[in-house]
Amino acid sequence: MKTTKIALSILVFATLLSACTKPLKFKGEYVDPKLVVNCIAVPGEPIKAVVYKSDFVFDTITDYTMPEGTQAFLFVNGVSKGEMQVNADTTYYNYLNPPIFTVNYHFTHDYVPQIGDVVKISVTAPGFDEIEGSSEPLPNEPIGSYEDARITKWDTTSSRGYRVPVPDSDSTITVWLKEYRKHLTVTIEITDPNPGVLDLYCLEASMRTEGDWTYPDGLEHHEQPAELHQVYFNDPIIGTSTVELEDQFGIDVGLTNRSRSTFNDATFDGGSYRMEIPMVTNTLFKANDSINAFVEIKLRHLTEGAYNYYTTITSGNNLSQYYSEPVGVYSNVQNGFGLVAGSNDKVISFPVW
Amino acid sequence: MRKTIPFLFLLLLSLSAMAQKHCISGYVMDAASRETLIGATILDRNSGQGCATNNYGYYSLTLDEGPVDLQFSFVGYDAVNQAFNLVADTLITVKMSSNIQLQEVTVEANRATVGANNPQMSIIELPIKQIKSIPTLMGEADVLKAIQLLPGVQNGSEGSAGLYVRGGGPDENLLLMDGVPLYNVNHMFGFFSVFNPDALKNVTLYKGGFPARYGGRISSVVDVRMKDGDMQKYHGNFSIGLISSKLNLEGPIVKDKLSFNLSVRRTYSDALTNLYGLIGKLADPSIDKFSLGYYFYDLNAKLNWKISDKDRLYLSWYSGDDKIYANVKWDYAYEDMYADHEKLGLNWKWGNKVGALRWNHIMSPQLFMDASVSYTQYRHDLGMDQNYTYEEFKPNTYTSTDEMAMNFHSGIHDLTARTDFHYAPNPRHDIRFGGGYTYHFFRPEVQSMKINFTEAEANTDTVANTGDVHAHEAMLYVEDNIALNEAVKMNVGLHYSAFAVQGNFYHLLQPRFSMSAMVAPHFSLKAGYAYMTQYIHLLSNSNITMPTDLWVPVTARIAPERGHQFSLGGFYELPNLFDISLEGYYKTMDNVLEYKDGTSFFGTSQGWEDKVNLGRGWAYGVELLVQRSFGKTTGWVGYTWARSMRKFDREGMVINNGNPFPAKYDRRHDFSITVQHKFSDRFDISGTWVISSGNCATLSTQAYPGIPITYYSQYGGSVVGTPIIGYVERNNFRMPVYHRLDLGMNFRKQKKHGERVWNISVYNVYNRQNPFIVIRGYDQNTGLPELQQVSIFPIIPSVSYSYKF
Repeated sequence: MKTTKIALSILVFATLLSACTKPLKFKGEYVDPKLVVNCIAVPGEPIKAVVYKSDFVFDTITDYTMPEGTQAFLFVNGVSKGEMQVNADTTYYNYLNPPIFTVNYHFTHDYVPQIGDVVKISVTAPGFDEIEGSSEPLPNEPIGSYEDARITKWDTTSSRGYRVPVPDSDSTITVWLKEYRKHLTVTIEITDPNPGVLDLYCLEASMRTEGDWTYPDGLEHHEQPAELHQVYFNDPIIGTSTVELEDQFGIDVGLTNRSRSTFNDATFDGGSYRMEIPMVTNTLFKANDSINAFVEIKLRHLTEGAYNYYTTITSGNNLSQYYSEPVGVYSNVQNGFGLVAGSNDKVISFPVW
Repeated sequence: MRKTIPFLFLLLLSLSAMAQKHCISGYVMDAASRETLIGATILDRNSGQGCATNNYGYYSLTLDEGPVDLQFSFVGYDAVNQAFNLVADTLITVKMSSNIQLQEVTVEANRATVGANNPQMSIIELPIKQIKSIPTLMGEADVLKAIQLLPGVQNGSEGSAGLYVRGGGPDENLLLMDGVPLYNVNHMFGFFSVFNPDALKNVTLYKGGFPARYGGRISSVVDVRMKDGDMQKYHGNFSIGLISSKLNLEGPIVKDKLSFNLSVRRTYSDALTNLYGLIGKLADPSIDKFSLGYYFYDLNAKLNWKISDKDRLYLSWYSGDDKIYANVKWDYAYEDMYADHEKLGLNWKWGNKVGALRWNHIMSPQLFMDASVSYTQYRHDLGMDQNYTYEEFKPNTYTSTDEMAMNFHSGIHDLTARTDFHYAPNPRHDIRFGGGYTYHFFRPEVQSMKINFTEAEANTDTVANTGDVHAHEAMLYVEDNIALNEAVKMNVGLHYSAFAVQGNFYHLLQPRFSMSAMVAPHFSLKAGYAYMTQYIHLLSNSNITMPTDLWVPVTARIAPERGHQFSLGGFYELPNLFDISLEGYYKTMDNVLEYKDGTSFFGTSQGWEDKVNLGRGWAYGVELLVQRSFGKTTGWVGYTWARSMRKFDREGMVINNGNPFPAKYDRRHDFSITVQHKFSDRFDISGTWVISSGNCATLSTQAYPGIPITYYSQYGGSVVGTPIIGYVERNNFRMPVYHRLDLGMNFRKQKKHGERVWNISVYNVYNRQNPFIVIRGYDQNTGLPELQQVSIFPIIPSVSYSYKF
């Protein structure tokens, strides 16, 4: 009996020690990087193509920087328009906090594409396979009209304490801010520009603010962005979804956070469709701050490639990714990755305060 | 096909030519409990003719007039001999006594059903004693996990009770409880099955060569039979384990006429979690109410009414639910400035209900009828509500309330009427035929949402219903076990099924065939062929069994899945030592369903047809089973070499660029050894060791930035697009090898009113970290990306106490 007791005690002890989930490491197969080109051509706007290189997903250092000696060439409707010019700009990774600023390269060309153009871009770099991607004919402008942005409620709802960092210090303070919440119902009407053709769309909503403000204790803060807090899609065409549009920067135009932004005109082909979009905005200002805020609705008429890209990239970022097959985000670039596609955008902007 | 039907009719007609024969029929049952014995053998030692009892313990043997010497045998029981002069049809009900000396558990319950001389191949019977003796996860004996140890059968993820038979999917298995299909056979997200061994009498697995009486799934049939109940005396058992307790009672209501069997199982993990909630509430005074729990239960009940010698009525019932609930209420006040009140509620429940009323009638000594009406239901209900109230006292007086409630329901209901006949005109023919009709009612999902915000003008109160679906399924079958001579036996059959749904009509004639030829003493060669179809699919693509997994019928766009399976093998009985079975199979599957990249059915089936692709699959393999069924040491060794592939290259339904890829649970090697040894009547041990190739997973190899996003913020300009993970091939990565050792011990002691048993089991004895999923994670120290496997079950000892009375 004593032996049994000892054995049972050991078993219980062993369970307590080991009853946890432990990640284990093992190596995957290394795959060489490839060139990446991303370009969404818009009729009437100069072409801009951003070029990177891909990384093996388990590389210890993430570096998407374009290789030295990279060249990009533009072809329109099968005719070469020559080499594109390289430019550098500063961008940052928005998913890191604090964000990492980096120099990235994009290529431009003087040619301004027109509706119906087929845009092809090829990219070469020493030590890499040549890549190329081609768009479908660039679409015409989506016929959409902004009918109404009805502010259904506008409150200084509450005061709340928020902990904010003190500049040049590791400490934080609690400040009391007024929380403004505004409910909007935006009505837009979309008219099919191409009867008999399946047109593909993407609807985006964003919000931006202009101006300066200060915390109650005098700490200055500039251009504190507002939040477009929620957009409710409860629409027979787009579907039903409550989309939270927030990130650490407080604003998000949210392609990555949106689950239902693409749709098509299969159900209103040749006709019009009226859509009501309820939104909730949140912001934290003192009442006397001089802030201007705008809501921007962007209706995008997409080529098939762009439509496939936005559809798959939103699928890949849904919350249930651990319960679904992994997403193959659409890419139409041969021998590499990325997207060469087109869109024609209509922007509807209006002030909310 | 055109030649097969006339051939069958000719066989039936030829039966009338028999003359001067009489039929011996009756039931074979346990002498003590009057429980009928399934698969007991009856052999006339004079003529060498024999038969076996059916699922209701009934047998029928037609022999020439004259002296007969019958031997009734069943493993674990003393044989019964009856010699007499057969001059007329004779009814003999045999009561067999359990033989203590031969009570060692066996894999193979009886030679008549699964032995070398039986034409049926790819069939394995698992006695309940065997299932109960296998070491278990958390002390819960589990039918499906025992089946997973057999060659040709694989589990899904670590610890899962899912079945993947011969390269098929988890929805391709017909799981029958007393002949009635069960849709969701899992508890606790698939880690336990709904089959409570205490309530069961017999479990039979068919992996191929399916008899014509079965249909509706293409990969396997698991036929589970519940105990009928002791006609003589009351007895039962109860057990207390780590996660659940069980109680089983059976006995006569009217002796020798009416009996009952009742089994209940319930887990009590919710008691622990509620205790945890109580501690949390004590620790945080702002929490006003905290309850959180999960439990599952099973209730099996059966009534067995012997109306007369010719008529029996069975009423069986099963219900089982899983439930997760959480109720939390917070009250928080900040000085005298404001106060928050928040209430959250969650009620998540899913489960099955199965009921069957069955009438057995002996129409003539040679003709047995089994008529039944049954109902099966699976439903899933999810309810969530949230209530938030904000009160501001200073500087303004203000109150707002936000209320939100969401409910989700889905389910499937089947109502079935079915009649089966068992006709045994002579020892050379054992014919079964019958038909049935099932009304299916699918409710894929009903979702309601109610939002009521104080500050909102337009609140939401909607009900969305994807639309109920009504479907009708009918089937007819005929099969004959034919003994061509002493050495060659075959089972030939036809199964016809039809399915009507939403204006679409599908039907298919499915031939079935299996045979055995004794080419040497104790050695037979076997072959089988089966054509199967199924009209429903399970929408699920998670690693575990989720209650949100939805069954949906075929549609105009999604055609029925169909499969051909060919098998060939040999069976060798090494007398008093081993049985050795070697089988090879080749299986093709058409209209296999696979999910498009990025699709998820987590909580919704909306537009499901757009989320799946149809393709084809093929699987082949070799299975070796070496069993020892007698003596103090019993068990088996199983090995499977297998391959299962998929190809999706139809227009608009391309996956993996149209190239073949391995199925998710394709495993090249799968080896298991299961051993029980009885040291004495008071002590026995058992052990299981499994090792198999790892599962497949789709892993990315490349990452790159997506389309840059135009941005308005203090940082200005544009931001690098969200990194995109590039996938090259579906299921391009194989997880590490899986292996695990489980051990169990039983300490038995005879007490005044019964027997008590202490069981100690250790799952994963050497604490192998087997992969459950593989993810792209980050090193905790460096923050750099790395490939990680997540394991969920370390070494898990368990102890249970049971008492039989």
